[in-house]
Amino acid sequence: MSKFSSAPSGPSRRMFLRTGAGLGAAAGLGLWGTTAQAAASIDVVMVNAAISGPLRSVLEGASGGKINDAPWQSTTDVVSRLTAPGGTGRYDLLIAGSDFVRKPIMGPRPGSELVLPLDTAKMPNFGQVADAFKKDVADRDGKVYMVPVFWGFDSVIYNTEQMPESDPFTQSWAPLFEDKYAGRIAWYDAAHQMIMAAGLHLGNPKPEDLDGKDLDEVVRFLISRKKNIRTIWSTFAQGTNLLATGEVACLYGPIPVRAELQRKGFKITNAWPKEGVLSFAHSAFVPRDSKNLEASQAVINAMLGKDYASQVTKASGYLSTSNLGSQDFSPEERKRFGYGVLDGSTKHHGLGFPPAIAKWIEGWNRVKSA
Amino acid sequence: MSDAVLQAGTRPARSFAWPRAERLRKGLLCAYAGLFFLFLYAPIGLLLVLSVNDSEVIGLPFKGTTSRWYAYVLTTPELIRALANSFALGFVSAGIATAIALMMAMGFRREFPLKGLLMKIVLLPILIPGIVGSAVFLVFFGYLEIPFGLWTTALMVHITWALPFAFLTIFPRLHGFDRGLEEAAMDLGATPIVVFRRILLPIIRPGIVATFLFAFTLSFDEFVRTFLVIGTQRTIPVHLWTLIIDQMAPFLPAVGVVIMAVSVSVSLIGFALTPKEK
Amino acid sequence: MRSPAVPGSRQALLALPGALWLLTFAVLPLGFLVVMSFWTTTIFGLSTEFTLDNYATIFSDSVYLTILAKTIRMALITTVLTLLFSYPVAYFLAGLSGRSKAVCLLLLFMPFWSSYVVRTFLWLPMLGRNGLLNTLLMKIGAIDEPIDVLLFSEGTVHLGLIYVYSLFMILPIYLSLDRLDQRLIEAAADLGAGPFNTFRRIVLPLSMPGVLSGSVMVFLLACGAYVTPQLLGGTAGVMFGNIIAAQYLNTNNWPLGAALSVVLVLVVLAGMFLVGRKAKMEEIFVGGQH
Repeated sequence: MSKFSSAPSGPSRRMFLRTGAGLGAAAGLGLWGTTAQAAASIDVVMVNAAISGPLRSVLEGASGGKINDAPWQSTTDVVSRLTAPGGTGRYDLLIAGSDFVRKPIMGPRPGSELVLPLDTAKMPNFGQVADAFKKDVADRDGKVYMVPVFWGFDSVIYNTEQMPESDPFTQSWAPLFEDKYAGRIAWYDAAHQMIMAAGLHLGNPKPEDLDGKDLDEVVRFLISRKKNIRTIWSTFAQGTNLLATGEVACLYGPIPVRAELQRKGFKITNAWPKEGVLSFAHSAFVPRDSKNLEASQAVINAMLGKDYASQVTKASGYLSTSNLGSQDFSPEERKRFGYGVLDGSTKHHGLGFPPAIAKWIEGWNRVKSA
Repeated sequence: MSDAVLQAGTRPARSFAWPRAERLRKGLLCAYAGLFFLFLYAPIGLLLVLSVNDSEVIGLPFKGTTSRWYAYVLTTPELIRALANSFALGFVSAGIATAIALMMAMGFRREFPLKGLLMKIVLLPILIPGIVGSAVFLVFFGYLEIPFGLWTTALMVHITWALPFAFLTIFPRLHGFDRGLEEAAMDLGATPIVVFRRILLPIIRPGIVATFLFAFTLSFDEFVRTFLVIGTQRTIPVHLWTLIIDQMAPFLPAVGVVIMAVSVSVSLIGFALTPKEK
Repeated sequence: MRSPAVPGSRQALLALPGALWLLTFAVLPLGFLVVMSFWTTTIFGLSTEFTLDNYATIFSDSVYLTILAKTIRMALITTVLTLLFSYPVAYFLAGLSGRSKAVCLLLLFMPFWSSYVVRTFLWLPMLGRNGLLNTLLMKIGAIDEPIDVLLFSEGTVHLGLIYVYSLFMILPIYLSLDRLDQRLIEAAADLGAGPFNTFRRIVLPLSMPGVLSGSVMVFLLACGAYVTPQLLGGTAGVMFGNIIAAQYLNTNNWPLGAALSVVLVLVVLAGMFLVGRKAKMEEIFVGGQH
């Protein structure tokens, strides 16, 4: 396809296409082009921020060719793409939330994996994965199938000009639910995240286990607080826009939203809630029918290497799972970026994978429709 | 009254011109149309303003003029490629969809079995919500192992999407057409193809052009159904959606303006090249 | 009526390519959708065992049916409003001639070439707290505080939908008005009919095919709308399309999404069938023959 898209554009291309023969040839070229490009580039899906700017050249240098990144929607979207018919042959590298993807990609029993085993001998940086993230490595029968490459956390993102940083109320999940900033709050359209946050706020020590009556209580709580919010956002840019235009004072937010706003000079930051930020890791895996295992492994290795790991936080806000990532940061930088989570100085709670997720989703549907 | 009758009798039958007595009504209508176009263009005006806004936010307050967004847009190869993709896809799918729709509309002038059912089936692509259509195509093409791409899956999706609209647009125009002329011609020995070319086509040509433009607009703008099955190539709406999902790219308004400008130029060229009748 | 010599059946064959295409790319995928609605989703992907669970969920939990009813109501309102706003514009366009007609048509199409996504997104800086409208109103002193309800309300969704769908209504009405023979109007005037009667008895009925086309298109589109309510609707403007989309994008429950879509399709088709019966839709749609 890359070959075809470098063909002359504009009127000459349209004229070529107008003839019936042109149409058939175009389709044929398209198909031919797919195989021809396999050697020169790989198809990936990952959070766009993780391959933006300088990060792209690091990764393309490692893969030896071009990296075509398809639009990222969500972790569940990545799983959908993989498990859809023919999905195991469409992409060469996928990176998504470890907790969610582990079960689908590994399959119920040995031999049913949807992904290729990775050769750790070809990925020398694999040993650099920090202890805190060894749990995100997926292995079976001595073979590694999934490697954590970066991690992040969600928190309350707020405008420091409207909510004082030093106020203990601000340093908690309360601003999202209580009346203090009513009408200037936005929630994230995600059952998992919002119910976890509400659970933490209500004092539940293990919200990921919410089920039955307890879950209903949290859902009812959310419904009762809906009157305080301005809107529910679903795409990162929506969230960013809400804060940037002053439409809201705070929202439930992930790193890319905060990073984008800070990069643009807005007085926005994330809170360090006393109940803990919600943390998660993204892991990389190679679909079973990919023809570019070598290139993908090289990319994974590069993501754990010093070059990528030390730049990823500044470029995207996400943090590296590799020990090489934060080596050269000052203590103040470590704290500000969030590396305090690794050594325990910053409280965090893993987002995890709630066993009753189906009921959570149902409950969230009720919250949205109420 | 007799004046009007006189004027009515002498005016050429095809023009839809207004008799003198209607001036006030015409004035009101013009004023309303003006208001409507104002409503239509107010956001576009804002788009233009925002495209030169020297601010990191897509929105007010206005922070001074800058041309850096346009500079960025016009020099980014991905954007230009996405634009080219959208155009090419738009032309081809509009052409095919219009042709199929025209044939169907002509076929519908006769009775045939299951006609009523076909009428309802035509509406299906509109009825199925975009996101569902996209997922359905994902599964459908997946099972058939058709590789995703601009000219394979995206083209088929776009044609399917434009077809009902094209049909619904051209069909009413075609249907009340007085067949007396056609039948007379055929009695005189003209073959159906000649009848089509010499009699039907010239009269419905404006309708066909409008339908083609409409189908092109639909394809050009279409993103929800295309998004999941386009693979890694981008059309403009898919690319814009990525920009909207992930970044709050301040050059977004500039992209919108560029797209509009290019489309307008292309259609102006198209108008200039079409031989004028009347 | 028709002379037996006319090759009617041959011309009917022209509908074949369209029929085949639709069969392959509309009916077949819809079949897939229906089949998928009887499956379930597990952690490991789709499970193809036949089950009625999805439908049970939809009909037992009033949440879904309430939103469906609300969506249909909103779609109807949107269609009626769009029709009211668009008809005069179509009438105006049909009344022009020559160059001014071509120019106005071009002006009509132009905004629709700036991408639906952008055109919906634009209402945020237009209507937001610090948006154009509020800023203007505050500058001229008409209000002290920004009007919150402009954005993220049901009304905003209507506005957004009308804005992006008006072309779908204007175009068919314009096309059916455009082929209106002036002689009919003149004949009516000769017979002493006033302008309103002329409109009511002649123009309106003859433009009905266009009105019906446009209304059907807008109504169907509004029923399935998802981007507009998501960007502009806030918490009040949630529509059925959002719920369906969530199953595909957020919760990975495709079978439930399929079942919801099937329900939507059936309800809407049933509604149109009933209304169509009453108004003899096919005949109107097919247009009168003079």
